[in-house]
Amino acid sequence: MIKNSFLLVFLLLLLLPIFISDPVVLHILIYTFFMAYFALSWNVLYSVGQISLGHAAFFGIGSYITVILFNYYGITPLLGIVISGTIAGMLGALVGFICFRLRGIYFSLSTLALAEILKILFTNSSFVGGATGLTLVLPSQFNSKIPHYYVMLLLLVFLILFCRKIFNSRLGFYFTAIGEDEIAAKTLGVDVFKLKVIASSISSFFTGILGSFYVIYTRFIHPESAFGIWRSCDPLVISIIGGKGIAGAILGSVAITPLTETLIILFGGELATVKMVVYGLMLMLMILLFPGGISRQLAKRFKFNFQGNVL
Amino acid sequence: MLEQVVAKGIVIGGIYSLAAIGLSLILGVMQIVNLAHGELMMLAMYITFFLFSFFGMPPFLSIIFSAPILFLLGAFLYKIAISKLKSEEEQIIFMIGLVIFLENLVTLICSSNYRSLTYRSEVIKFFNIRFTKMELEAFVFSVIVFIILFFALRNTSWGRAIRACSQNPELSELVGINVERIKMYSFAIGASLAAAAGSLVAPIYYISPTVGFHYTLIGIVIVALAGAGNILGALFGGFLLGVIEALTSYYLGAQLKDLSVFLMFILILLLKPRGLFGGMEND
Repeated sequence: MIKNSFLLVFLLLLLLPIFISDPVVLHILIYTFFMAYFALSWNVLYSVGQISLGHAAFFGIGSYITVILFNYYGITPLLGIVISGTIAGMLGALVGFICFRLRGIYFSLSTLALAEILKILFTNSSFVGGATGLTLVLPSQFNSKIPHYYVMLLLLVFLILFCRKIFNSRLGFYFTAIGEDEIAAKTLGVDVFKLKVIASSISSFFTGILGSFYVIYTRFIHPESAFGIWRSCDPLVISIIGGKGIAGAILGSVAITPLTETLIILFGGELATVKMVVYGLMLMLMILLFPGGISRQLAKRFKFNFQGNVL
Repeated sequence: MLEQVVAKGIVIGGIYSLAAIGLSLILGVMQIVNLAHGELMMLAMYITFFLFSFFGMPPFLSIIFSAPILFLLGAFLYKIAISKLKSEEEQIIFMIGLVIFLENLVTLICSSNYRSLTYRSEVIKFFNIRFTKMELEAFVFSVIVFIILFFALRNTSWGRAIRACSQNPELSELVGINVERIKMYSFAIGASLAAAAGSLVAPIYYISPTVGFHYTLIGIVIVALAGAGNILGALFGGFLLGVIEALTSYYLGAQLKDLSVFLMFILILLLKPRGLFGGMEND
């Protein structure tokens, strides 16, 4: 049943731009997919029990590489997306290789510190435009929102299918085992360090692709929008509100993104601060009152198991 | 010039070590890294700033206000939330929420403008090294707070209870210490130490809602250098970090000051996960 309704929603979303061509609505939808995708790619690392606070690093690297490849070497962004993802994935493996020696909160902090290091380096390097950043000058056939809508939708669906495949494979079972009890997994012969590095590189590969999409969509990147702490917080907040796994990422994004984006469009950038205040409050309240997020609450209410079906 | 830079570093380092001791206390007793430590400092900096600009209160006297306010805030936070969190994951997420909340709430109320507080900038010469009066006062105050804390932890009954809890919570409970209450006190005391550090650093560095994270990292680097619960180690760690920071900002420029702290953070955690002074844990 889940599979059918998933297919139905996908078909509806595919047909939607024929009926609605209002750019604001499309923008909000694109952002909803965007956040769900971001949360889901972050979730791959979360599934081995690591809370990354530095996903902005992979996101930013993805966007910057796409712009640099296009502006300086004339490589088309469509190829740039793949290259950005690959480089971000390699960076993710490297970060994992360094930071997985640390546990729990020290891991989280070291990822945060790495994102901040990149931000400082990019702010002080004139090759990437310093604090003012870089602009991607694309031909005008990219101006409509509809192609972006389809690209983001397809990226999201691809990631959902990929994660489904991964989480139901041997690799995914290893991930879950590590996430639930690392020491137990280790005693049973799971190579925890290697698997964490794999999870990290998958997660950052997809995040790099998202960064690349972001810069193609907004045409502009600067150190704050690429590596800012709030960027790393987005997937975390979505995942905590929605819950773990695929269902959680989608539910969280659907619950939050349309609301915050509408408010920001209505009230302007001032609201970005209010949004962060609400984010902070929500993180604290969710973890105190509803640990496990919306998906666990729904599962409890309707005696329904997301894990077996979607995840 | 070198001795000038080193002396400045030691002045700042004394203040850093206060913040780090607060962090160390919380980590030792509760096994929680207080990610919001820098944000608590930031709150104290704003309290100090507003008391100074509205009532002309000297920054160091405002500790009388900022420390109790943050003591209460810390106790409140512990009581309603932190004591109820079960796993480390929940603690991390709650703390991140608190950081985001405080930082942006202050931005909303006070705007994100950088502010600075000028107080007693007359220069005193001291063996070829120039200090402003304010820096000397800040250093003296931080040493006084440190000495009070050091002897309070060593000689008073609640100080002993705190140290007992950080060594072995189960045994402390067995000998009749109310561990829950001690945890609440140590979180509150940690917060008020952050307040003291914030009030002292306010006239030296600029104030903005986003400074917190920098101080949190500095605190964690110092605690990592010293080992959790090691107060003397935290003092020397503070001096060391203050000097390193002053040297990098003098020789490599102020933008790279943060970079040196981040790099040190990662290096120290990787090379010395148990701390440079790790051997002499818990006195």
